Amino acid sequence: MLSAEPDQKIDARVVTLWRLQRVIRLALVGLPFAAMVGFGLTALVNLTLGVVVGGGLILHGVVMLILWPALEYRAFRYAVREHDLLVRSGVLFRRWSSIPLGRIQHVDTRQGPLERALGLSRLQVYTAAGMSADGSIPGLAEEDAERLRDELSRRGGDDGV
Amino acid sequence: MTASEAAWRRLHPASLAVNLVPQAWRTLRASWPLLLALVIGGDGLSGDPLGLQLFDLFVVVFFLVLTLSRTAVHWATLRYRVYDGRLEIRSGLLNRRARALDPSRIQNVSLEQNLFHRLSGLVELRVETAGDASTEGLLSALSVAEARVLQRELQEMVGRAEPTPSGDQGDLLVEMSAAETLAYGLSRRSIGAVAVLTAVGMELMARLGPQHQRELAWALNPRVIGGAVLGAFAVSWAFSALRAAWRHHGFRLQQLGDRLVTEEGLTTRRRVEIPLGKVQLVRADEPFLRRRMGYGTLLIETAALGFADGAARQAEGVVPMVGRDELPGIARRAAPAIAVDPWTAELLPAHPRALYRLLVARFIRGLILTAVCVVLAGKWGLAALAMLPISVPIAWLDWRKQGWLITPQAVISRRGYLTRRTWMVARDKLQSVHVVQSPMMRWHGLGRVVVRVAGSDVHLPDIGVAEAHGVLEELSPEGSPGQAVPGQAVLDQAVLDQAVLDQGVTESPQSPGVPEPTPVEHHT
Repeated sequence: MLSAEPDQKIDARVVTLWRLQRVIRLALVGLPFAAMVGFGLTALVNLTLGVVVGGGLILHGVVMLILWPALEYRAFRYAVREHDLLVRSGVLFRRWSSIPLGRIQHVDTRQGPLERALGLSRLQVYTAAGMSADGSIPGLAEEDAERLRDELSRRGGDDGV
Repeated sequence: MTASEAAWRRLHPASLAVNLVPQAWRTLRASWPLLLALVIGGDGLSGDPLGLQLFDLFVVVFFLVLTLSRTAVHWATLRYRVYDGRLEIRSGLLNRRARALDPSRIQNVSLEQNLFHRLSGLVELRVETAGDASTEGLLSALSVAEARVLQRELQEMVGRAEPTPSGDQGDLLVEMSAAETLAYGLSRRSIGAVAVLTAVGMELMARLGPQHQRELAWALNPRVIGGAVLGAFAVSWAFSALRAAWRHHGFRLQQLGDRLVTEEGLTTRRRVEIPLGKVQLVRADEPFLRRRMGYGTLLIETAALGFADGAARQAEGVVPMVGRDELPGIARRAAPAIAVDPWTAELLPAHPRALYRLLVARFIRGLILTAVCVVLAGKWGLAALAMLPISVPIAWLDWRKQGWLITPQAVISRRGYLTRRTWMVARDKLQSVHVVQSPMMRWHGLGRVVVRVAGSDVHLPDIGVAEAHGVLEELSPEGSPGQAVPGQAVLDQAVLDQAVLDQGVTESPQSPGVPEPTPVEHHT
């Protein structure tokens, strides 16, 4: 049993960020794909199937755009504990990660254009485990991200390699 | 530092001869998609045979010129030196590359000799580092004396004992006979080779004339297909055995002080030194066939993960064939900190509902396979449905053989029946700990613990999610080994007792069972 679920929420503006990202993805990938499938089915089978499947794909994209970011935001929690960083994430596929502070190799903050516009920042925590980040905290207010980055990167230790 | 330390050194002039074939092979490998496109698409690209021949000739000439020039540039531009406590290597004409290797990051140093090296009395020295590419192909032609000097300098920098020349001075742990080497090759899975053979067969078929194709199509009844598949397996088996004989010929594992040293290879003699302190993970693979032969394979992984020749690779010592009764002893030599014998310790079982998940997964896989077979072979494909009833006992066996254990010093995980693998990790090497849960696992109240060490992830069997969270807390630094009583399992004993009562304890490893090792690519 976890002694306690992590209690820190990320910034609520992240919901807006994720929705905007989904809008862009829907416009660039989702709509052309749905149109292709719809027209393809119309040509191969009939108009009804084309409209139902193509329309269904678009509807799915729109529903996910509205609902999913809010669910993801609710599912995401983190906590800096005495000896480790504990992160919980994921709506369907849930993940709890404990990263010992002494094993942290470096900490990055990243900002894309949308994040910059919203005043958000993403924190990525690396250990010697591999090339991908061991833990990632999206949607932190800029000042929180910087504070957390400094706090985490100060705690050095044996990397165990 | 002395003047000689600062002087740049270069490769032996015979490098030009020694490196030609390996360089050709590297060039070939780097351009294989292009070559494949030419071989398969050649007919379509160029209509007339003369044009095709000219095009092929052009490709061959281009390839030769590229190989020759790369070899020459490599010899002419490569310089290395030991300077300011680091190994510096620079090379390249157009693409200049300079690399400085920090001794504290060096995971192992190996000396390799391929056939051409042996003929010219040269050797290649390779340095593997954590989180960086190896120096494979760089220090590719040194005289033996020069290589030994460099090896000694590197080891002095790292503060290790003098390197011991290859020989019998160490503690010999494993020596493989020719029969064991062949048995290793025969007990490897060879799906990849079957795929290659199938592709070659299809290509040959496509090149036959229309008349022949009709005859062939007529001949392709299920009996012929079945025979061809069996034949492909036989050929790939033979190929696998020969490849193992070639790679692992004369395998020896020795312990020299605080290092494990492996030596192997028929044409390319490879010697790898692994400092014990750098070992991250020990994995024992006991595939069904090999287990029946009374053997297992041991992989000793260090953190030297990197990219070489465009492929992700991991520096590791592979001990291809170890008698099953010797596995615990060798594993203990490789990672003394683990201090537990997974073959005699009572491992905790997977959760009963994990069996249900295994069954569903196998059932779905069986249905997909059947669908594919029906598409390929018509109604005969339905025969694949016969696999479904067989998959039930296999899933049960698979689940029964799963086990895990957390001790104050180590994390142990075992999975699989046909392909049995046992992972052993020292707790002081853990980088991070995770619990993952898919929707179906959540439905069943299950969770899976994943521990990460440098270069690898180790998955424990599926257990109750509360128990998984308990393991995560236990493995987080508050539950560090220093605070636990040595020899006493550190999980909440009540949870463990309940788990044992609920499910019984997995069997000790004397009974048969087995995994197939992932083939580990050694570049030679």
